[in-house]
Amino acid sequence: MNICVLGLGNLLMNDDAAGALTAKELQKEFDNSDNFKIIEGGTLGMDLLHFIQWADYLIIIDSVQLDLEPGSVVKIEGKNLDYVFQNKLSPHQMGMKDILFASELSGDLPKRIVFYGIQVENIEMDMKLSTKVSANISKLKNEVIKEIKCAKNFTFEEKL
Amino acid sequence: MANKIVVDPITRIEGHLRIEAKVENGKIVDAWSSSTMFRGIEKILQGRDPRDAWFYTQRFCGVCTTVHSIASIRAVENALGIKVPYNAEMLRNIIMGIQNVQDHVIHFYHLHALDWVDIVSALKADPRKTAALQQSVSDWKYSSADYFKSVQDKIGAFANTGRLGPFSNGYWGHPAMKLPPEVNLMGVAHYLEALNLQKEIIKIHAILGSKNPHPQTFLVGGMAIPVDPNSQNALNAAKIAEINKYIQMADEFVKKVYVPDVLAVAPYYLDWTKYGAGHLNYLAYGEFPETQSGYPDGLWIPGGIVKDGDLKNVIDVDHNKITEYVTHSWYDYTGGDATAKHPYDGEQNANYTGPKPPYDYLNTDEKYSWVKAPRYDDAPMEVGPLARMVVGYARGHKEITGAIEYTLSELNAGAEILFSTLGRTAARALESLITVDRMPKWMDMLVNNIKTGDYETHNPEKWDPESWPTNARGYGFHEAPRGALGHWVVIENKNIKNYQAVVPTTWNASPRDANEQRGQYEQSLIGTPLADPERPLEILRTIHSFDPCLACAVHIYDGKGDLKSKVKVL
Repeated sequence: MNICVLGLGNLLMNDDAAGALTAKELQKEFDNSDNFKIIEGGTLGMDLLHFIQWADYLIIIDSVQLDLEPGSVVKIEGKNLDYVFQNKLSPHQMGMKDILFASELSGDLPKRIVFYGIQVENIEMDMKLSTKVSANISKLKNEVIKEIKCAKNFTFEEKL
Repeated sequence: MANKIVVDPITRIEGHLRIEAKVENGKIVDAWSSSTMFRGIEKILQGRDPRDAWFYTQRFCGVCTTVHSIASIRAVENALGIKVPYNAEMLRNIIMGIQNVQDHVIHFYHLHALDWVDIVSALKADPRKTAALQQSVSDWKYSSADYFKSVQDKIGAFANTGRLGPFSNGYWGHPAMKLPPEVNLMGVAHYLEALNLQKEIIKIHAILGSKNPHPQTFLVGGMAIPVDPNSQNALNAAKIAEINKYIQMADEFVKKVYVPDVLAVAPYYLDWTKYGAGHLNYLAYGEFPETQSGYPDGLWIPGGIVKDGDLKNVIDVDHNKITEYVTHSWYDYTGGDATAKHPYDGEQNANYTGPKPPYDYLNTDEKYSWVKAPRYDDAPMEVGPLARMVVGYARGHKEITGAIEYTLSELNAGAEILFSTLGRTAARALESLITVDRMPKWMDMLVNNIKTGDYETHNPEKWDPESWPTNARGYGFHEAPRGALGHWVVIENKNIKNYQAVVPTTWNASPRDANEQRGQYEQSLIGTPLADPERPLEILRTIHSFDPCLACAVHIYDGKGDLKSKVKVL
């Protein structure tokens, strides 16, 4: 089973970068292997498709705007993800919606997709995270690490 | 009574764009384009070493990770008077060339095709008829009835999930969809084939850039790619053979699938040669240096300006005539908003004065977009593949003229059809065609130069900041997939003092200027009929034909109320 952790965000736009920065941090702790990859995807669109087609278990990390307390860490999975991509919670999902549509049409949609997000405080051109997001970014990372461990012990035969 | 309709967001683009259009008697009579766009970039770059700028500007754009690197290193090279070695120019040509082709393929099949191709209708096709059609347009390898049946089965499986609803990525069953089921099935098959092709051919960037996405081998003064036929770690014969394989793959797809598809679909949509023209002003900076004297000499694709559709006169580009207005953009200029500023003096003092969300309409009499309004000699311009093809055609460029005249004769039409939505979409295919034809030539030029014993890929003369003047400034142009891209850098005491980028989508998506001239998207929508204002597919067709890229326009949106309940807060 192939596991892909995909961190999204624009590194030049402070809180928007949270997902990408988390992926970069995770890359220091986990080595990529034949069936495990951590990708810092920036704000790329279709160039990410081959990672998604490759994955059976996809973990997406991104910033969100849900009017929650800034720095709140959220998880979205299963059918609820359709709403995420329909409502384009974050601008990267514009690309993500198209990519997932394409991979579903080609029959390569990952069997399981889990989304982790962090509520932004503000978005502006800056390379530093806001105080509240910065304070909770390690919580986001830890939640994703739990998910990665769960993914590594996961078998579709049992759970499906 | 005119109705104002709003399309927000325009989907299937990279980034966020909103169009407000006024509709009278089923036709668009006025339009406003508004978007978020990157801003405040100077804040990131000010005080940094100009040799590092490309590494940051690479992240402006989420889609083409090469284009802002190229423009940036050229701007610094221009400021410091650095000549780039021939090998490095050829390597850049190959990187830029395949970027353009890959981007055009993705645009046509994955971002634009669903405006014309009805996936649901493909379920009704007879795969044998699609096979016959495919065999009649080219000798492409995937053309059997069994193959098209298998594609149809995939669509059927997707449809059965219930997620291929009328609003999921396309307006299925819309009255403006004109293709017969057999053509739709061929289109969907190629949509899927293009998914695989695009990820293969871009491996050239991984070979030449050490990494893709976000290649790492750009360098002020050349490229950080060692060239040595005898070294494992350098660009050697094996790697050159691999690059040639991907070029060949792109060549076959463009010639046997992409261009034939455009020619097969166009006859059903000839109406779209009458809509979407906009201002008939086209700007191209030119691209692909091919001579030993290096950029900006000896460009294969010529630069120039065509105004008011006059193909008899081409004006040479003078970067001093490029300015940006913020009269209708959410910025304040020192000295007032009535006058435009040249990028060297550019400012980005943001001042949002728009309505507080949620709102119904923007106040378009005042400021209404984050995009500035670039103008050339005070005139709005279109940039992109159509601009390059029009300027090249007007200059009598051999390959461009050949490709355009072939297409016009196939469609039995005159050059005026270029100025349209369909012309814009076709121009992208023609540009891909001439580019895949040219790429092997750059490979040969590179290989032949290496054979002379020239392994140089970097000019280190001005690498040391001690060799720089106290004050320097320069500009770097690049013909990115979406059009003319310019970076301007002001260097003082070895560091960046100001940095401005005027990106292709800023030209095309601009709001009005101080003279109330519409931007090109706005102008191009006027006169377009809408069959069903509730489902404004026609607006998408014209806007998508520009290949909007506002991915640099990263902005976060409010989730809808029902979404909030779906989220688990940890």
